[in-house]
Amino acid sequence: MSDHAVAVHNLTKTYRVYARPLDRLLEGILRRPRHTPFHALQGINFELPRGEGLGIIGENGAGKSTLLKILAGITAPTSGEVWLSGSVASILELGSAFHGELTGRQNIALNAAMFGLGRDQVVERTPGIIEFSELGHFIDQPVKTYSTGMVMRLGFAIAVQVEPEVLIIDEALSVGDGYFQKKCMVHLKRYVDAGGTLLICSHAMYYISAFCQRALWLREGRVESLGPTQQVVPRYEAFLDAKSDHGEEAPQIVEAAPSAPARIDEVCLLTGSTYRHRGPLELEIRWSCDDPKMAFHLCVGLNRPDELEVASFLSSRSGGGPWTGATHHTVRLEIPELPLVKNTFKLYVFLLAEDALHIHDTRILEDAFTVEYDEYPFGIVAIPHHWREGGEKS
Amino acid sequence: MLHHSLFLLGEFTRRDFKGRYAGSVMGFLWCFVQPLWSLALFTFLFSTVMKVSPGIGERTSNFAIFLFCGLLPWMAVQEGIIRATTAITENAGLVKKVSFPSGLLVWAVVLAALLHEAIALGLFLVVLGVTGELSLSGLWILLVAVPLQVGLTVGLGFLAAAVNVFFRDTAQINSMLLQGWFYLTPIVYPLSLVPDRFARFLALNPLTALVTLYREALLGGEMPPLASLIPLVMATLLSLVIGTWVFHRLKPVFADEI
Repeated sequence: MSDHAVAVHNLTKTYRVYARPLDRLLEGILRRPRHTPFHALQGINFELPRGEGLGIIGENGAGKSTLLKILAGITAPTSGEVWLSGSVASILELGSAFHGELTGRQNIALNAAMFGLGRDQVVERTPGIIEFSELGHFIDQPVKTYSTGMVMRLGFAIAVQVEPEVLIIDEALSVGDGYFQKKCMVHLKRYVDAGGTLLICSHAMYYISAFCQRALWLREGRVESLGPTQQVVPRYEAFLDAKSDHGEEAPQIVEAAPSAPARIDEVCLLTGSTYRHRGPLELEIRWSCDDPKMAFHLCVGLNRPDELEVASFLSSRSGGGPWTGATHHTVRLEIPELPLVKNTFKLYVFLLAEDALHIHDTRILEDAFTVEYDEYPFGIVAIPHHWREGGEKS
Repeated sequence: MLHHSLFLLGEFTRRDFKGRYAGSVMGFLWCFVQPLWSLALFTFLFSTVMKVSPGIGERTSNFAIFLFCGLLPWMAVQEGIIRATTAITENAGLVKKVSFPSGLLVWAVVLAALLHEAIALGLFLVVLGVTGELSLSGLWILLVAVPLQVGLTVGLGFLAAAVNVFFRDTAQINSMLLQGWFYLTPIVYPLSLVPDRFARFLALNPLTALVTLYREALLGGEMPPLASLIPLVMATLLSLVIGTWVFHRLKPVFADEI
């Protein structure tokens, strides 16, 4: 067990739900159950080696926060065992211990003490905390005058200066401006790299994949999946996608009126709906027209689900077409390699006139394909690169 | 561990004490205003209007001084219990989100109340000096009185704080009970005015002994017979045992209930 920083065995948490406060009192007196049990966690087992990060993911109400609360020692499990080694600090809510009437500086002492620092350590680390928080002269203003972001900055500054052996974070990074978030991330990354053990719960898969080698997917209080982050996270995201698709209408297909002079008949992704990194992508487009003398160009747009335009392929610019001399056409777009790293993408297919301006027909493939990538890095694209040591130009 | 708890307790007490006055115009001066106001009201009502006088056997003939000796411990006990009752529920954000010994929240409000009492006591000693009634010979009795008072307040405070998490009516019930307790303790009247058949029961009130200890301590008296302290000592021990037991039994589920 000693090589594990955290070990959880058969953990269960059951809440008692009472319809009225009176029921609780009556149950205590009469010794007869008057509650409905709610199983927040059931049969949770996992071990976390020292110096690793574990990302806890799952939908709202899946038991993530309950699990972190038990690990942080805030609430007791109903049954099962939790074993933690070394000092533990938890940030379940930044700034929850702040007293609004007191200044930031006055609040530092109590908060740092609650994280386990002694008097000397508090004195020693206060300048570092103030510096990290970047609050400047606001540090001597009452906390009630702070914005949410400022409270968060101070809260996080205190937590990171404590430097525990096990750090438990619940969604604490989701507030604050991008700059400070980045600063916190750098700090957490350094913490994990220096051998710290991190348990983090977030809806932002970005954080999970950034800090955690392993991920735990909780679903309705049970472990749905536990394993390497690059396996668990895509599975969870696919689950979420499938869920949101289910509720929506069928993919919207904009079809030209049958009377239009030219129509897209079929668009087919020959390489399938899963794109393997560094593999080819082939798209076949079939269309028909009434007059064989008509000439066509094609345009394919690649968008992220949030409509960020990632790439476009226009035949008139890349040496394809114009296609003419038939009433039925079949054209393939062949992309030898896509440098995309993750996400699901949609494809827009435009059937254009010879001038490459007028649009005859449009086809949209929602969720056309999902990119699978082993390493799961940041960003949208993987760009080939190399590093060279030394200053002289080659 | 204990060392760290004490440090944390100090910080909690400071937070409670400072936090209360930070932001108000008069700030710290409220420490003096509150006891003086009670003193003025009670003196007018009981001495001027109702003509209560400390009477024979008491160590002072000045009603205000007599009254203040009783008010001092009472105010600390009352404030301690009332604030302890809501100490856990008011700090729900802390209890639910941070891992720390939550019993410190109860200790902190009791200590803050004691700090208020100390300030009022200092003021009172100055007044006694001015009126020429200051005698330091009995002050050592406070070394007996204060620990008993703190023990009683903390014990009852733990009990009330824990029960209030599950049964929020506790705070209301408490303020009613405390009102009764105030008038059933010889604070605004001397025990000698109480008819014998009731005085016997009043002597069983642990606060009767506490108030007596304070009067003896502050007005140059002597240690009362130990037998008269039995109700106070018993009540202190009992409330400490029951209060801490109940609090520690219920503590693991505080975070789930508030």
